[in-house]
Amino acid sequence: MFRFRLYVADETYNSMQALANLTALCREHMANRHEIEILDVLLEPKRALADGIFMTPTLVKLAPHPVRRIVGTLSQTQLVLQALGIEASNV
Amino acid sequence: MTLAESPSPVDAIDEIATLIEALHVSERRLEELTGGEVDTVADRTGRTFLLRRAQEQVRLSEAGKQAAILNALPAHIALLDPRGVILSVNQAWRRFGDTNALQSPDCAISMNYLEVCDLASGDYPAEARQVANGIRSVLRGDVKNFSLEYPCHSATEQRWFLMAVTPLPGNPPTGAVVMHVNVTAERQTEESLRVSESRFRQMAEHIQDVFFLCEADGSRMLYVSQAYEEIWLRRCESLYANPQSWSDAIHPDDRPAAQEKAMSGGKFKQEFRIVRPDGSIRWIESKGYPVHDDAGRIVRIAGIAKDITAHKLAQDRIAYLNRVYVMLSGINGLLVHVRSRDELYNDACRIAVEGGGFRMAWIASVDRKRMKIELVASVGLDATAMTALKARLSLSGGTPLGRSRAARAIAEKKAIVTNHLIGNPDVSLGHFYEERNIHSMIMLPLIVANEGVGTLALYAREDEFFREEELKLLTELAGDISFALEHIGKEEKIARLSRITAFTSEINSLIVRIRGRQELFDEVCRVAIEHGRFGTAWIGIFDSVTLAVTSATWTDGPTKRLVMTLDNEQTDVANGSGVVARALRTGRPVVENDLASDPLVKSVRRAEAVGAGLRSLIALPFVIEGLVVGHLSLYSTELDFFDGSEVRLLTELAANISFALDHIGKEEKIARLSRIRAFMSNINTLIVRADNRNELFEEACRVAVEHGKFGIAWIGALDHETLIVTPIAWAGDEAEALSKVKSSAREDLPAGKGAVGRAIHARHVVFNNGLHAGGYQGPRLTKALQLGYRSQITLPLFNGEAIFGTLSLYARESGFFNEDEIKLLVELAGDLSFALDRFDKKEKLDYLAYYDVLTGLSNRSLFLERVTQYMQSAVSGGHPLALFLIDLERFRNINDSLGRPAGDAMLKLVAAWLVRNAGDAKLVARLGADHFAAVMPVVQQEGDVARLLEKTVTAFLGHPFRLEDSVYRLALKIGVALFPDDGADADTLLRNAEAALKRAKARGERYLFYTQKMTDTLAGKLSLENQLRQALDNEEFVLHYQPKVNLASGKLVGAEALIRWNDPRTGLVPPGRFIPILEETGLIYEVGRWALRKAIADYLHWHAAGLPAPRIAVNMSPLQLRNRGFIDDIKQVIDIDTQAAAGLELEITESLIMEDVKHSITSLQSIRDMGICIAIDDFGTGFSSLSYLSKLPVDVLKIDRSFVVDMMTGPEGLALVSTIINLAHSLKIKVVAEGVETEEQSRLLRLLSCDEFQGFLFSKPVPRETFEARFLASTPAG
Repeated sequence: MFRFRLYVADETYNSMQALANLTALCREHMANRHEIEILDVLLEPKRALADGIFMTPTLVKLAPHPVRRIVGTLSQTQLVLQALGIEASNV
Repeated sequence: MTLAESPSPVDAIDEIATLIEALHVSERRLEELTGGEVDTVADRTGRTFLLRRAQEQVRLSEAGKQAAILNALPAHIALLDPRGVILSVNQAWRRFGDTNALQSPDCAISMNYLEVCDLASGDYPAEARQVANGIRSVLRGDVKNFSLEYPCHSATEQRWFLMAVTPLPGNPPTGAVVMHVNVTAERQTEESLRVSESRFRQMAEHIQDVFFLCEADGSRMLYVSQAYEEIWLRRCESLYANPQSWSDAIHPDDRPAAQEKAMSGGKFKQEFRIVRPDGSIRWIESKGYPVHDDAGRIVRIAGIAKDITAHKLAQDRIAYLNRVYVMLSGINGLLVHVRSRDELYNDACRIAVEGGGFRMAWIASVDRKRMKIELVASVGLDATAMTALKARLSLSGGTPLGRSRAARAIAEKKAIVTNHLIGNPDVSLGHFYEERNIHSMIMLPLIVANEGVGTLALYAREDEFFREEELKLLTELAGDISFALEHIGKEEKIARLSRITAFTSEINSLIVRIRGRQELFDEVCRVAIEHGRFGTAWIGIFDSVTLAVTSATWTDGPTKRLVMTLDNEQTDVANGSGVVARALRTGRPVVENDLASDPLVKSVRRAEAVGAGLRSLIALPFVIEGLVVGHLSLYSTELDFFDGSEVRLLTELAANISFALDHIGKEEKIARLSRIRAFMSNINTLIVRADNRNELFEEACRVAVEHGKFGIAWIGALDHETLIVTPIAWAGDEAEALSKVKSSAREDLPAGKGAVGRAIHARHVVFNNGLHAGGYQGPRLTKALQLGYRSQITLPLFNGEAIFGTLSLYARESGFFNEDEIKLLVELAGDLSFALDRFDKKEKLDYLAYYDVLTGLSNRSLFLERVTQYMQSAVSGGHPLALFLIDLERFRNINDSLGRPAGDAMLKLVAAWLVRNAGDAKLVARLGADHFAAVMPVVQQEGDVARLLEKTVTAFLGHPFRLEDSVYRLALKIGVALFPDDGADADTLLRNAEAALKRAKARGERYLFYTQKMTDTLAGKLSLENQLRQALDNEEFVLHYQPKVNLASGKLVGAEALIRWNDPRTGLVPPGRFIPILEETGLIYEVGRWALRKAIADYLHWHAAGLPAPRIAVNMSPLQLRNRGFIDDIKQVIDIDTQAAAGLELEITESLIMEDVKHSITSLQSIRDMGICIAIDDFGTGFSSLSYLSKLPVDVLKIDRSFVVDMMTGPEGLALVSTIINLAHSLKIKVVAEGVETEEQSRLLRLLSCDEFQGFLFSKPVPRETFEARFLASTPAG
């Protein structure tokens, strides 16, 4: 089971892009095996600070270990998968 | 920010400018670093900075979203500032400005909406001002919101708008939002609801149903609407006073159910009838609904009661019509297949009751002839109703059809309807209908060919059932039935005619075929029943002179009594008024179509016929040449059966039968006369030939039966003292039994009144052509009747003047003896009497004319007469006949040398021999001095003739005729002629036989056929046989001898004698060609005997000559061994000389012995006992024999040549031969090998210890002389 948390700022363009890309990626590569939590830094700045998030959109892969973070719109799917440590072939 | 701490404005501005520059640069840099993919960044404290681009996006997106939402709303929305100026509007506002009176097209951004409203001058200025004031009060903060619904009708539709004003935040508010919503749809719904409610109210006020509300237990009526009074015709008050009084009015039939339902406590719906005070009946539909309290208990019943009478009536009409339709369609269905009137009537009534639901239905039919209306079918009528109806209908009969409704319907040819049977003064049997719950009825006329033929009556339970619609349909229905009746009538007519046609055509075909009168009568009656389906048929023979009618035949009638009546009842043709009597008297067909009706005719026969269910009768006379000779009477079970066409057809038929009778009569006359003639000619021959009275009488009876075709013939002798007639000769059916019956001639006894008695007393012929008609019936007549005899004649026989006795003849046909016949028979009786007279006077009849005095055989003329007779039966039997003319060879020599008396004696011997051989003296005749003739009446196969000839000639030749202690052997020559090939009459045949005989003499043949071809064919068949016989006679057979040699010594030890035929024409014939024929013809016995004798003779000859005669083996045929005389034959042969047995060996084939081992052993044993050796020939060809070998009395075993050949080809063959030899030796049997041809074979056989051999190696079979010279002479015996 993949657990993600996406830090966004309201419905800003890049955040929405990131959310859209993440959703698509999950559906394609890990259907029914993922959870996405969305966190709006404008609404919960303290939480973002605690999590050490300095930019939005930022994606954090919480599970499985190791934890990884990626900043950006997540439009480069292969790079994202690599960064997340998910080999397309393994999935 | 505080001023104290602030730098100088210029510096500050510069610094600010620098900072801003730095901010821009850093932000740009950040954008570059994140590739523009980041929206926010946070500082170390967690403060989030929205990047400028993102900020812009967020802002734009917020405003865009809001604008989009507003624009998407259907309501017209505007934002006003506190002054009422329009700051912004949504798309709906813009779009629909022109449709809203309060929102003119110029009502756009920057306009003051308040002013617009204040200045409004359209259809609704008041509302506009109200709006402006409302907005103002909101803007002032006086009210939290304001709304107003207002109409705004366009030219095409009515519309309503709801305006709402909401303040923007602030105090006083910073503006207001104005919204107009189109609420037309809501307003319209409301409006329609209002209208419908008003209508409902109106309806409820005018409704004519009864509304009621009562306590649940019915104890109190809480409310009842006014309609109750109109429907029930009772006061509402009465109901309040007595809440159950509503049910008092209910029809008694419906009341219990209605009350029960109403009290059931639940929701109910029911229908019932009420009877109103004025007697009228209404149909009510009542519905009830329970009303519950809070606890769920039923406290009230609310309900509606409705008058549904009209509806009900309409329903009933439909139901009635439906019933009629059902009936109509049922009956129409029926019409398609119905074939008989009765079926139509019955089914129509049944359908009326079952399908049409009528209470009763019946059909009456008019018998116009008898002025009667008869009930023909009914359904649903009880016994009383039936009786009443029949009585009523019978009243209508005899009088002009006019009284009853049925009669009126028929007479007026229109339907008579009575719709109210009960309580109707015009209806006489009101109670009758009431009892049967019948309220209306209809009589429908049935009309065929525009004439009322009947009526269909229907009775309905319902009052006023038959109205216009029903009447129309039922009239149509009656029309359909009428049509069917007409159709059936035609069909019946056709069926009846076709029955009669079938009958007549069958009879016509019979007429062609049938040759006998009685058979014709029987068949006509049978066919009348079978094809014509008449109830009874009866044929009588009429004697137009005596006016007597004799029943010839009749079919089994429906009753036995009727049959008896037909048989016995006399018909008074002279005066009778009966049908048959009239027909016979007038010679014309007479019809009675209603046997039961005519009271004038009182006849037993008619009464029986009626009793047996017969209704119509036709009597058809048979008329030949103007004379009535009989009648055919046909009874039908149907009334009025014989109509014009039927009578015409049947009259034709009677004419045809008459024609046939005439024809049969003529044929019979011819046949009978020729029979009588044949009878007479035979009797005459008999008279000449018969030696004594008994022979004469017996033969006379036999001839009467055989040639005269009388079934029974007997002759009785009268004892003049006792007057008893005792049968002394008889022939025919049951003759033996009848011969025991004596007759009496005593006039004082009833028995003396019989035919015999009467004939004796009257001294005259007595005949009876209708034995079955009655009169004295003794046991003989009873028996004769049982046997089917119908005619009898008794002829007195005279001895000089005195009565000797009687001759009685019986015939099966009734009316057999007619004038011509009787004349001939009387003549014949006279001849018999003459012969009797002669016998009595002991005068030998001079029968020289017919017989050869010397031999007693027939002479030429008698022989020819007989041959003629045989020829007749040969023709009818379809077989040939052979006539032989026999010449006694060298008879003249005997006559000359021994003298005439010896010659005559010899002729008598020959005649006796011929008679014995022919088996019957009648077949042989003496035609001349030494000429005899014989006839073979039946030749089954031509071969038979030749065989007979051979047999006869041979037997004759072999027969020793002993005359004066001497034995003479005579020979015959025969000429043969065959009938029909060689001559059509006896004379020609005899002449041709003479010719054949002459030729045979000339050629020296023993016999010859007249036709050369026949001789050739038969000769061909018999030639080999003949040649073999001749070979035997001419000593053409010879014996050849094959030597047998001892294998060890090489010396001759024996010889096998083999028969050869030395045919002078062809030379030596191989044994295979003639031995089988010898066996087939039995010549083998003679030839076998000859061979035996010859072999012994040769042996004895050699022995006598001092030669070393070897034992001679002679082959025995299987036939010989089986022949009982064989042993004797051998004995005879060896008895010639004591040496003979020693010189003889018999060779018998193995297979022959095996055929009957037991007999073989006995025979062989007895032969062996004579000292004769026995050899088994062809040993090995029957394998089973080895085991029997020990039991057989044999001396020698001859191994078949095939084993000798096989012996050389393989070890098995060798082993077999070796085994045979060893086995034989162990049984002390000598072994001879046959067919040895090579040295090798002989060497091998020697090695196997075989004793002897024969074969080409040593010598083939050779003639006696050669054998003698070659093998005997060189080695003298010693």
